[in-house]
Amino acid sequence: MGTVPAEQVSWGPYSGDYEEAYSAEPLPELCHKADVQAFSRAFQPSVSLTVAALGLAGNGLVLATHLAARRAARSPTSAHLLQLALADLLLALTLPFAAAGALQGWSLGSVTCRAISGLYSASFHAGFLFLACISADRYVAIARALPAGPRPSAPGRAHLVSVVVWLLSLLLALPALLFSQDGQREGQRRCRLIFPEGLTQTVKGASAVAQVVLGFALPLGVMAACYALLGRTLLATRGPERRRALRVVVALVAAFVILQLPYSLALLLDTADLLAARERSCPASKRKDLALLVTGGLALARCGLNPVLYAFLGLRFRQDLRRLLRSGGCSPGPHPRGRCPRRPRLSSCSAPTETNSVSFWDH
Amino acid sequence: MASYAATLLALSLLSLWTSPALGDANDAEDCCLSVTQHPIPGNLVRAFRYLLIRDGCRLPAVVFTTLKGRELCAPPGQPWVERIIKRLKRKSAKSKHHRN
Repeated sequence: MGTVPAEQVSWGPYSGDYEEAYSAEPLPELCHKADVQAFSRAFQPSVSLTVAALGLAGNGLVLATHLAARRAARSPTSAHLLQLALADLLLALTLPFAAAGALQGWSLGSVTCRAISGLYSASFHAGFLFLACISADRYVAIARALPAGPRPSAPGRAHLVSVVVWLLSLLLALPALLFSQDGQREGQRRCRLIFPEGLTQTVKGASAVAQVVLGFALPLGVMAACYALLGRTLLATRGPERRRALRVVVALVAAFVILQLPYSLALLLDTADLLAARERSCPASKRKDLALLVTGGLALARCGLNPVLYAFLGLRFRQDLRRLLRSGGCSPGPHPRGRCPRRPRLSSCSAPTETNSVSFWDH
Repeated sequence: MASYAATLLALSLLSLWTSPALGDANDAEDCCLSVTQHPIPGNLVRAFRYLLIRDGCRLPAVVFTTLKGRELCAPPGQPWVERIIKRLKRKSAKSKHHRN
C-alpha cells in the first residue's frame, strides 16, 4: 500500500493528512441518495394518488354499470373484463396507503403492512393475467366466427379460468404476504418487502423464476400471440369494422408496450445486478433508482387506464353506461315492473350467429 | 405480425420480476454498494453504525465515520472490523462513565 510511514501518524490535527494518504486507493463510501429520495417523496405519492383516483373512478364505473345492468356476464370477454376491473379497483384501493406511507411513514402495523402489500401484489398480477385472458377470448371469438372455427365453450369455463387466475395471483403474491415488514429506518417506519437473511440464493432464484414465468412471460406471451393472430385475421377480412378493430388492437398493444415494458426492462437490469452481485458506482446506482421510480409510475398508470382502453372502447359498455346515466340506475321511469329496458339487440356475444366484425367489440 | 410477436416474446423472456413493490421497495436508501477489503486504521474512526439487509440494503455493511466525516463501508464480521467496533464501544462507555 506504500502508506506505512503515514500509519504512524495517529491522532490529532494530522490525521487529516493520513486520511488523504490512505484514500489514494479509493475506499468504498456510503452512497447518499438524498436527492433521489426527495424526488421520490414528491413523485411517488402524486402518481399513487392520481392513479388511485383514476382507477377508483374508472373501474368503479365499469363495475357499477355492470351491476346496474343486472346481467350475468354473457361472454368470456365480458366476464374477464369484469374481473380486470375488480383487480384494478383493489389495486387502486391499496395506493392511498402506499402514498400515505411514503409521505409520513407506515403507522398501521405489521399485519396491515402484509395484508396491503399482499393485496397490491395479487391484484397487480391478476390484472396482468386477465389482460392475457381477454386477448385469448377475443381471438377465440374471432376464430369461432370463421366457418371452420371451434365450437362454443361451456359457459362455466370463463368462471373457472377466473378462479385459476386469482389463485395464481395469490401464489405470486406469497413473497409479499409472507415477507413484508414494517421496519424502522432513520426514525421513519416503512412497509416494505425484505427477504429474510437466512433465505438461500436458491429460494430467491426460484422465486424470481416463478415471477418471471408465471407473472410476466406467460401473460405477455399469450397476449402477443393472440393479438398477432387476431391482427392477421383482421387484415385478411373486409368490412367497415375492420379499420376500427385494427385501430383498437394497435392502441392496446402500444399502450402495453409504452406503459409496461420500460419498467420490466428496468427491473431486468436491477435483478441481473442483484443475482450477479454486481456493484455499481454511486451515480449509476442513483440513475437506476430514478429509472425504476419513473417507469414504475408508468406501469402503475396502466391500472388507471385499463377501463379506458378495454371497457370504454366496447360498444356494449357504452350503451349500458348511457342507459345507466339516462335512467338514473333503472329504478324510476316508464319501464314495466321497474326492470331495465333490454338493450336493442344489435348483436350478442353469446349468440352463435354473431358476426366477427361486431362481436369483437361487443362486450 | 409474426416477427412482431417474436420480438415481444424475446422481450418477455428478458424481463423479470414485474410487480412494483408497495411504497416503492426501491426506496433509494442510503446504502453501501461495496465494502473495503483493506483494514482501516481504527484511530481514524470516531463512530460506527450498521446498515443491514433489514434496513433495506442489499449488501450488509458496517459504516465507519472518520474524523473528517467520511463514511467508509466495511464488511461486518471481519476480525479487524469487530476490533474497531469493540474499541469504539469501550470508548463510548468510558466517556459515559466520566460524565456520570
